[in-house]
Parts: sequence; C-alpha cells; structure tokens
Amino acid sequence: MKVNLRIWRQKGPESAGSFQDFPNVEVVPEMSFLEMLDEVNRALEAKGQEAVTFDSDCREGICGSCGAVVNGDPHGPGKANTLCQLHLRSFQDGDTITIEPWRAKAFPVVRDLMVDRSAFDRIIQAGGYITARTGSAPDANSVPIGKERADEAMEAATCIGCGACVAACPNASAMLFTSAKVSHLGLLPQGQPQRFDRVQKMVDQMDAEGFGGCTNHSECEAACPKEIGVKFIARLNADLIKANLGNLRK
Amino acid sequence: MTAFFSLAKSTIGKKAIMAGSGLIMVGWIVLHMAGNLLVFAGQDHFNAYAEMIQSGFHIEPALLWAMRITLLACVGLHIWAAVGLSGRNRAARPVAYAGGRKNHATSYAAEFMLGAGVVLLLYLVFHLLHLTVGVFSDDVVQHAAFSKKDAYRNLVVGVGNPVVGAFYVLANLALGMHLHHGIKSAFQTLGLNDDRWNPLKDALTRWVPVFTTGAALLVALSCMFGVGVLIEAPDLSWTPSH
Repeated sequence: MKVNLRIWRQKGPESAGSFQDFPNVEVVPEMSFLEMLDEVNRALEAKGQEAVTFDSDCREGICGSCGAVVNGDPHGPGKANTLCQLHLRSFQDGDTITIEPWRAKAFPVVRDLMVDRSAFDRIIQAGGYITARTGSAPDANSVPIGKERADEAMEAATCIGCGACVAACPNASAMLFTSAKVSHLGLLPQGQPQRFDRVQKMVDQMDAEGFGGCTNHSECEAACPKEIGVKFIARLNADLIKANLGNLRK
Repeated sequence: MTAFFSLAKSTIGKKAIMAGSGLIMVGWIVLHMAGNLLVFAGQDHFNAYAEMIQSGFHIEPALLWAMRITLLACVGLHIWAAVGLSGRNRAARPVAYAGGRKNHATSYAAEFMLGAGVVLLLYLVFHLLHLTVGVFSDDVVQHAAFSKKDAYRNLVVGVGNPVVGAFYVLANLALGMHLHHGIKSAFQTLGLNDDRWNPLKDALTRWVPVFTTGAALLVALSCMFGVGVLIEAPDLSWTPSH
C-alpha cells in the first residue's frame, strides 16, 4: 500500500515552517505510524537530507512522549490512541496524510514535529506533588480509601502528559491536564493538606504559561489517549472557587 | 470583596464570574418570557402586568431600579469576562493548524457562543431603546404614540413590523443557542458536574432555551401576523403623526 505524506518541516522556533510532500511512500498496514516515519527518515538520510524530527520513547502508548496532529486529529484517527499505537491499517491505499505539530503558544515548535512541552513540567513544579515524610513505603491499605474514590483518582492519574488535550482544544487550553494532575492528588487523603494551595498555584502557573481558557467544547476529552473526562475540569473549577471564596489557602 | 478580586485574577475565576452573572440573567430571562406570554391574555392584563413592574411590583418603585442596576452589573461583568477570556483564548494559538483541526465533541451552540453574544448585545441595546425608552417616534419601527401606559400596543405595533419582528426572531434564536451552551458551561464552571447535579443541568440545558426561544418566537410571530394579539380597546387619544 502507498500513502502520500505531507509533513510539517520547521528549522527552529523562530523560523517559518511549511509542509514537505512525500508522494507514494511504500508502507504495510501492520506498520506503526512512527515506524513509517522511521522509514521516511532512513530514506532521507540515505539521500543525505535532514531527517524529520519527532518525539518518541516507549512506543507502547504509556510514556506520553510522542504526538502529532494527523489529518486534523491529535494522535490521528480513532479513540484512546497515541501516535505510536496508530497503525497504517487505519488508512487506505492512496490516502494523503497531513502531519503537523501541536499548535499552542505555550508549546513552541522546537523542530519539525517536536514541540517544547516544559510548560507542563512547570505546572507540576508549581504544586503537583505532596509534601510528606519519605522513608520506607507504608503498608498497603494502612490508609483506607473507598473503591469508587480510588478508581476516580486512578482515572485522573492515568494522564501521561502528552499534550493532546491542548492540541485538540480550540483555545489551546491546558485545563484537562491541570485538572487531572490536581485531582489525582486532591481525591486522596495524602493530597488534602496542600489541596487548596496546590490548585491555586497550578492554575496560576497554567495561566502564566499562556494557555487559553476552557469554553467547554469537550474536544480534549475526545482526543485524550487515556479518555480522561471533563468532570475533572469541573472538580478543578470547584476547588479553585472554594480556595478563593472560602479563603482556604495557607 | 477580597475573595472576589483574588478570584477575578485567574481565568477560572473570570469564568466563575461569567457563570454567576449568566445564571442571574437566565433566571430573569425566564421570568421576562413568562411575563411576555401575558400578551395572549389581552391588552388589559398585559398592561396591568407592565404597570406592576413599573411600580416596583406594587411594593417600592426603587425595586425596579434595583433590578435594573443588578442586571446591568451582570451584563457588564459578563462582557468584561468574555472580552478578557476570548482575547486570551485567541492568543493561546498564534499559529493555526495549517492542515485544519477536526471537531468531534463540540456543538454549533458552543462554536457560535461569542457571535451569539455580540448579536445579543446589539439586540439588548435595540430592545431597550425600542420598548423601554421608546426613542423611535415613527410608526414604522415603533408605535408612534409610544406610551408607558400602553405596553401592549407598544409591543404589538412595534414587533408587528416585519423587519423588526424578523430581528426579534433571529436574536431569540441566537439567545436559545447562547443559553443552551451557557447553562451547560455555567454548571461545569461552578464545578457542578456529577450524578447529583447532572439531571438538573441536562433538564435546564434542554428546556430553558426551548421555553425562552419558543415563547419569544410565539409572541413575535403573533405580533407580525396579527394572530391572537388584537388590540381590544382602541386608544382613542392616539393620533397618527402623519
């Protein structure tokens, strides 16, 4: 099977980019999307040309490194997917596939398909942790937590920080990411002491990074490889309002 | 007040202010539309209802102004938050997707939110000048002998004009769309998205726009086509201006 690729090429954050066409690329349906890009790069290098830069690490859909917008969809067509878990069987022979990086002011393009997502790291650094005595791991179930609450915290904790929510959002908002990171701590007893300080600091950092605000389109939820729901955004909103109106911050 | 200002600094706080002011206006719009349906009860009933509001609900004339100032403050806060947030949202993606971005979850109402908001602001200004202040002293846009004593005639003649009536119809369709996404968003912004609140949210999201737009269209179309809104007692003091 053959596909026509249009891949975004950009030398650096300040340079203007454009699409480069790769017509009639020979692929097999079993190939993963990143294996196809590897083949494209092998061919480019053989010709002495610059390879297409893209992020990838585990290639198992669990690390959150990879990601690009494929035909208008972050991580490509289909639900609950990462780019590395997208396979060429999702496309037809002769398809034109357009590939471009996440587009957000807070995610500047480093090169080609690679963007700088350290804005996410700074949101975590602002408060996405608990301060507790470390030492040996406590016994399992020494702090009893109800099954439903544990499940909900786990759902939030599945966020791999890939940035698809930002890429999918009409406003390039990081609310789904921030809400997941606030909620997986805020739902558990260990996260309670800093709960309202945390939400204020993380939201302040999110705003300072230049992400947009949420206008409730739910495109983030549809694009999330871990299917994290916008109910966590409601939780984040509630916690921030409580923190301010109840003066619960320290 | 300190809490209000600390909240107003963050994007989420601005949205909470937008949600709160929006919900107050939604409540008022529902009452206003229910009142408008009294037009079908006839001239006397409708004018008695208008006089009740003019007199501050027969309690205290200042109540009318308290209500007006509250609503005006809500409109102001709502627009202030919208301008700030939408500017930020546009700035958050300075380079658009060259190959486009597909939508999978959003609605037309959500996408048309800002556009509908602008339509509603224009409509609000026109509507107040048209039927509250009465500045258009001709028989085309408005009843020439506009009178606070005859709100019924002002409405029936004013909205009866096909062009004016069509504007009311379009604006109220925009209102329905704005309320559909607005009510849903307000619940989400105020953190009320769980099994306890969702039945109420879903019911209001569906039925409030149906009621407000339905009632407004019913009144506007009745005035335009002269169905069910006959002026029973002709106002003999009225003399045509031309």
